[in-house]
Amino acid sequence: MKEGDSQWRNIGWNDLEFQCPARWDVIVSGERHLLLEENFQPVLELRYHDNKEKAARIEKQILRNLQKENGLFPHKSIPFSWQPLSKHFSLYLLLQEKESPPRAALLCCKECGTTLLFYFFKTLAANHPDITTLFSSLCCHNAKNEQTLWEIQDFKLRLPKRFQLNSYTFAAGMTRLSFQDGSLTAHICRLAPASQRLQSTTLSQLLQVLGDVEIPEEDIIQTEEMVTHSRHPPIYQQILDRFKRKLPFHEIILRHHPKSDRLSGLFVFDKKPISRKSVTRIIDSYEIYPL
Amino acid sequence: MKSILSKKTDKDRVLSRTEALSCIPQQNQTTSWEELENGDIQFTYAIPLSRFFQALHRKFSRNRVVPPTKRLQLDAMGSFVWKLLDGERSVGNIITLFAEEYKVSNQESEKAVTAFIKTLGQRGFIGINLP
Repeated sequence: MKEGDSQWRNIGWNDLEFQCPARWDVIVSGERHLLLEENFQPVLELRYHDNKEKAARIEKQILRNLQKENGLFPHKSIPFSWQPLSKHFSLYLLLQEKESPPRAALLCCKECGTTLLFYFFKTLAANHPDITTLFSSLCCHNAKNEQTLWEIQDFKLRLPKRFQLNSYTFAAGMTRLSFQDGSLTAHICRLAPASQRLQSTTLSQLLQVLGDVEIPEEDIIQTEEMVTHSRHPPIYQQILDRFKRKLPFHEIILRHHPKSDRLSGLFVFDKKPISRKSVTRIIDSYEIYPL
Repeated sequence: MKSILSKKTDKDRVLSRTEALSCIPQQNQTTSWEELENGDIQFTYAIPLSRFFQALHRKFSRNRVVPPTKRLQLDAMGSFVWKLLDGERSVGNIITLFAEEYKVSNQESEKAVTAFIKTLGQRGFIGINLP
């Protein structure tokens, strides 16, 4: 694979990992819906679903629906370069007419049952080598790893598999991903450019605004490029917080990355004490790299 | 049959994303603006007043001829985009330049620049040449 090649980049989103050309922009359109663009022109659309046990039934249903609603019917023969993919996936090319170029491809993972539907905006021939590499890099299950990779835009981190994506925002200069794990809520944020944000505010002020918390300045632990605060209130305060429907425990961290001119934050809230070890593990994996 | 009243004019036409990105924004020549020492752009524009307040202004203001004005200062990012609105660059070009300057992704740059251009258009500071 092309690991470390600057022409290719890794993408990790909601249980799916793959490589795509670095010149392509990956736009998140839904929890399991990605759009890949080149020069503001769509190249590829990807929708995927984790079916687990019902894979075979869902696969047939999708093919039936695509034929009925979009007039796309499956074609048996696949390009020679895609033959190795059939080891891991059931692969169907979808055509509009018999002799026409393929419009879409349906891949069903033989191991985990994830169904991936790719729609080609350009003719397949135009991007065939890129799409072939992307398909061969697809990884929809990673049984060995207990953590899920989240790598999009210019940041990457690994989160425990039990963290479920709750909501996300890709605003101008601010990306936020929110996760839920039982009573625990975790927010990941990345702000750009940091120099503009820090012109009128300090890191500790930003920490309070982003975390929506009010903390006395002296309680915030400040290092050169990081501010952090942990809250472990006494029992009476915990009861009071629960009455106010607030999560009493929190671990909040905001870091400045001067080299890449970014700010990265991790905000974890829970009704019970938060494991410091798991927070450290997330922070250690949270990287920002230059675009 | 469609009613003539519901007939959509060219003005109402919704542009596709590709068309919108190839539009060329241009600074309105009547907009009064200056570049401050720090490179930021400051607009000075007349406050739109209702007839009642216009009458009050004429009656009580010291300078009755000049309508009341307001100042609006852009930040460094806004000023950067304003300087690119030369009537030659398309929205797509401006988005790319903004992304390169501030090292953000094209997606973020598109959101920031298009929202800013929309605001400038609503305030009448710019005009848009359709492709």
